[in-house]
Amino acid sequence: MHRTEACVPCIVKQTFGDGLVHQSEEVMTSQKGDQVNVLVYTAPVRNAEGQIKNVIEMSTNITQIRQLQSQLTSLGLVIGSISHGIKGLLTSLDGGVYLVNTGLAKNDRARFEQGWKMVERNITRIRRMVLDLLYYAKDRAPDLERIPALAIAEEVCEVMRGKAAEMGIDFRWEIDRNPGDFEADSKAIRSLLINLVENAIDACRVDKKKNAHQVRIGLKGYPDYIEFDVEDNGIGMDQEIRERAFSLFFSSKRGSGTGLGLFISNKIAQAHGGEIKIESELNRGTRMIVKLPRKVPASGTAATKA
Amino acid sequence: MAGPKRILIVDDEQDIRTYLSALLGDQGYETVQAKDGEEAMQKVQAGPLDLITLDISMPEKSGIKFFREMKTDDRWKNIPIIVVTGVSEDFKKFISSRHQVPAPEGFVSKPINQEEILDLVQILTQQGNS
Repeated sequence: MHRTEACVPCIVKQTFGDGLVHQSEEVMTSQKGDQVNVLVYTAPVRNAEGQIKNVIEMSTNITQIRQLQSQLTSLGLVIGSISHGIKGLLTSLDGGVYLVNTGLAKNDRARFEQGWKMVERNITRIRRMVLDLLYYAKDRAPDLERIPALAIAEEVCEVMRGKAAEMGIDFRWEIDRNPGDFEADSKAIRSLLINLVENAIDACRVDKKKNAHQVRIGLKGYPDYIEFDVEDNGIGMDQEIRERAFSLFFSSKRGSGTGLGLFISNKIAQAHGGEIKIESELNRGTRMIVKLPRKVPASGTAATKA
Repeated sequence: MAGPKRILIVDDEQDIRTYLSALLGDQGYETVQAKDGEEAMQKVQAGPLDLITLDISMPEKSGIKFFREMKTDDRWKNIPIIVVTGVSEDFKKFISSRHQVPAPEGFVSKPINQEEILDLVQILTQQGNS
C-alpha cells in the first residue's frame, strides 16, 4: 500500500508533537489498485530521557466492515422504498375492494367491474414488484434456450399496447419480420423489455411540454446480435440521470420508483453478454438500445454481483 | 340550503383518485380530481372548493409546491387541506420545509383508514360553515 501525499492531519506528526496516542481512518490504494479503508493508530516510543525518538504506526484493514455498512445502508433505502410502494399499492387495493363491495351492495355492476379491475391491476403490480425483488435478491444465472426474437417483441407489444392507450400515448412498432432467433432466458428478456417500455410510458406521462406522445418499440436482427430499442418523446434525462440510471436504488421517479428496474434490466443484459445503451436528451426524449448476442458467450452467463 | 360540499382530490395515482372519489361521493360530497399540482391549481381557480386532499409524494415535488401556493394566497388559504402520504419521511421533510406557512389542517397516512378520513373531512368541512 502506498500514498503519494501525507495525511491531513498527519497523526504521526501529532504524536511526535504531543506524545499522545492518535487514531484516524484513511482510504488507501493497494498495489492492485483497490481502495482499502484502514484504521490507523500511532503511539510514541520514548528513549531513557523520555524524549520521543520514534512513533509506532499500526493499521487495521476495515474495508469489509465499511462495505458491509454501505450494503446495510442500501438495504435500508430499498426497504424504505419498498414500504412506500407497498403502502401505495395497498391503498389502491383497498380502493378496488371498496368499489367491489359497494358495487355489490348497490347492485351497481359498472362500479363492481371498475373495482375488480383495480384489484386485478394492483395484484399484477405487486406481483411484478415481488418478482423484481426476487431477481435482485437471488443472483441467478439465466435459464437459456433458443428463442425467436419476433415472438418476444410481439408479446411485449401485446402486453404494453393497452397500457399506452390508457395513457393516451401513441404506441407503434418497427419490427423486422424475420430477425431470427437468439439464445436467452425468455422470462428475463421479457421483463427487461417491459421495464423499458414502462419507463418510456412514465417518461411521457409526466411530460407536460408536449401535446402528443409516442412510444416506439424496434427490433432488428444482425448477423451476430439482436437489437431491441425503445424510444419515447417524454421528459428525457439530463447528464446526471443518464449516468446514474443503472445504479441500484437510483430513481428519478420520485416516490413511485424503487430504483430496481433499470439496475435489474442492465444486469439481465450483462448476464446475456449484451448491453443497454442510453441516448437521451432532457425535454426531447429517450432511446434505450438493447444489444443481445445471438449466442451467449461463456463469460456472459456468470452472474454479476452488484 | 347550500349544495353539497365540493372536495378536490389530488393524487398522481388514478386508482387512489377513483377510490377517494367513490368513498367521499358515497357520503354526499361532490368531488373533482387532479393528477398533479399544476392541474390542482387549475381546479382551484375554476370553482369554489370546501376541502382538498393532497398527496405530497408526487413526482416533481408538485404537491409541496401546490400546498405553499395555496397557503400563501389570500384567496385560497382558508380552504382546509388534508395531506395524504405513504412516506413519513416525506412528511417530516415537508413539515421542515414549511417556513412561514401554516400547518395542513389534517394529515392521513396511506393505506387510508376510511373512518379516519371521513371524520376529518366532516369536521373540516363543517368548520367552514360557521
